[in-house]
Amino acid sequence: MSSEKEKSSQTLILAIIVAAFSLMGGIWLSQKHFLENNDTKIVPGVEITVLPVARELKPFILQTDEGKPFTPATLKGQWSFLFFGYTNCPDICPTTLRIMQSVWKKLPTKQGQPGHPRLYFISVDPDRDSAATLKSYTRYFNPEFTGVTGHLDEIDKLVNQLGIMYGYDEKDNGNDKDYNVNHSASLILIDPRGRMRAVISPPHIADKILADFERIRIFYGDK
Amino acid sequence: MNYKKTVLFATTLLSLLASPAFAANSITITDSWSPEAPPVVKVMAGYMVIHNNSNSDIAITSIKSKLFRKVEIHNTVMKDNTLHMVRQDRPIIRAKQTLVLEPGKYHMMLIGRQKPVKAGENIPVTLSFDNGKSINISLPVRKADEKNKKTAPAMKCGGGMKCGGGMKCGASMKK
Ligand SMILES: [Cu+2]
Repeated sequence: MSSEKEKSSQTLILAIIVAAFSLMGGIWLSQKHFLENNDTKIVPGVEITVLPVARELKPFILQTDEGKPFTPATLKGQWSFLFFGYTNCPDICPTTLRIMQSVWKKLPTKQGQPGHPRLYFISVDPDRDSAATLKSYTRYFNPEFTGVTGHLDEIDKLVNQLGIMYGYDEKDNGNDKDYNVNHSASLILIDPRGRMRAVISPPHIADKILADFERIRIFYGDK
Repeated sequence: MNYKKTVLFATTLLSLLASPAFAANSITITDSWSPEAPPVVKVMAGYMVIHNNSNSDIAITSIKSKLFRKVEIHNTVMKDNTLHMVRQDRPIIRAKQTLVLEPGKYHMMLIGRQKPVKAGENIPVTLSFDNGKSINISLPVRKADEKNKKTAPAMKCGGGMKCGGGMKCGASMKK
């Protein structure tokens, strides 16, 4: 049973197994290395503005439309798009949310799968936008979209670090519920480590956002 | 009516339905529509193309709809990195030109909706002009379609806006 020939073939098999494992390990290491290296690089070939160094978010406490806290921790674990607006905005906010809805329809992933992003519509008009209003507003566009708002102080803590701006037009005479809110139209892309990674300025085009997002995901990874 | 004629008739009817045209002498209004809005909000937008067929400028003096408390024309413009909806008090349609109301630019702002309006319904609107004429139009309410895949508010500016930086400037009035 224990001929020299058999022993050498056993050694060979063992060697092959060891080689295969170290190759797999090597690939894993180099991929990990590759992704970590990419963290401080700018993904080539995208039109949106990618930050060379992803920006950590400082604390803020807002609430989702389901009454859950919305903090920097909420943004960890998946890519997130943030869009700032208000529900009484009839033109640009619904237009942008419809565009994001067409992005969502074409995403290669489904809710719950790795790499599947989230979208938060953050109201900078908490006086008029209750959680209930935001919930039915965002779900109208896509059941996955979530509304967020909170105290203006906390909204400011978030928007100031993202370079988002907003302000109120002087309230209309007669009916002070009719005022307009001016706001940045850029979408902010947050990476799965909860850091600001990119700014998507208008004009927003669904196919371009989709293509750029896929490149970004592949380049920086889903973790 | 033979088959071909029926098809032709149906096609014509369809194209009329798809893009209603409303005319009052010097003014023609085409492509009027309103995107269906989430039921929870009481403001909606209206879009259309207003053609001035005459040799003189015409201003819009008022817009009314029985379904809304008030109607205004706004222009969405980028100013200091934020979007502003600038109310146009007497929007002018230049002689032989067109004022285009479309998503992310000029739009009718329908404020204070009196009752829910769904896709498939129509919003009646009356526009009055400074030449004494007025025109009744209807805005078919539609689920926003593929036509509106793009927002284009930021990089273009027109009207009274000052343009700077990397902005491209184009007049909002098309020929
Ligand atoms: Cu408006």
